[in-house]
Amino acid sequence: MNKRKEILNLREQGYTQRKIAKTLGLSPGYVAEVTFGIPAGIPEVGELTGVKVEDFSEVVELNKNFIIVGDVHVPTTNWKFASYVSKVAVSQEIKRLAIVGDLLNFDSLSDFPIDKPVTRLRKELKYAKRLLNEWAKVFDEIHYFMGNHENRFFRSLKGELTVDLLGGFFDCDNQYLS
Amino acid sequence: MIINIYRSSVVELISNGILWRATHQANYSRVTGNVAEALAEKYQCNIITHHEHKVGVLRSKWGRYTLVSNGGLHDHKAMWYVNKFDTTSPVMQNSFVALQEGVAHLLTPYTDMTDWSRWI
Repeated sequence: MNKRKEILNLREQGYTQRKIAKTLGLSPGYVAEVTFGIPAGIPEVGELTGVKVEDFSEVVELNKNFIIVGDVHVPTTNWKFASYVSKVAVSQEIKRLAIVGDLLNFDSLSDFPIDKPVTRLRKELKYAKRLLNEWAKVFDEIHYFMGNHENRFFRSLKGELTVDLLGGFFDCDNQYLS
Repeated sequence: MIINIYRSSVVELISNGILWRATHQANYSRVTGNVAEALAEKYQCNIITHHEHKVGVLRSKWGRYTLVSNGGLHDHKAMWYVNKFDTTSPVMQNSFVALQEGVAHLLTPYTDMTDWSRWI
């Protein structure tokens, strides 16, 4: 179970922050952050059951060794240095890759005033796909998280289209997760 | 090719029992490590920041956590808006992280910072 969920479950059961930290072997500060503003053992309110509120604070938790990259900014990428990612993965036998935001520039969707023709979205996606294909040769798992540049994509589509569509653009068997 | 795509910009990685929060946070500071320091204080764990395009590894102010500012794989020379005018902004820097057995190794193209003979 996700650590945050475990913490919140214990909180609902009436555990103090200190007791949760001791039980789960976590720092009291971390528990305090997760449970901030949530009183111990909050009672069920019958008339509010059935109300569902989306929890955007949930954090994905992954295990084991990883290579972590971010700010790739395709197509304005340092392609030579990017090739070192695969080389290190092979030599160090690391099978998992986390891309933490800004894989693409999405310049064509930028709100900034444009004074120079930008790379077309189609071309950016093509280059990104090429890079992902290279990485897929050496990594068993690729996990892709969003950055502010990906937000340009979502903003431009006014929230109507989602992250699974972004995966569809890469033409991969993407799994849409949270 | 299977890619797991998440709407989130944050991931908590547990390597060898050690928790690392890797994030594409919204904040930026000209001073390397400032944002990571604040996030470590807020979330009480080791932090790997992105978005700032700067590299650095340091220990948090109170000595509890390790802070990594992970640069990026970008080529700032190819970015028009970066080169259009002279600015006093820090020069953008490259890096990626190998998280092995709980330790985050920051790998850069700078030969006075990374000994590549140990890695490939």
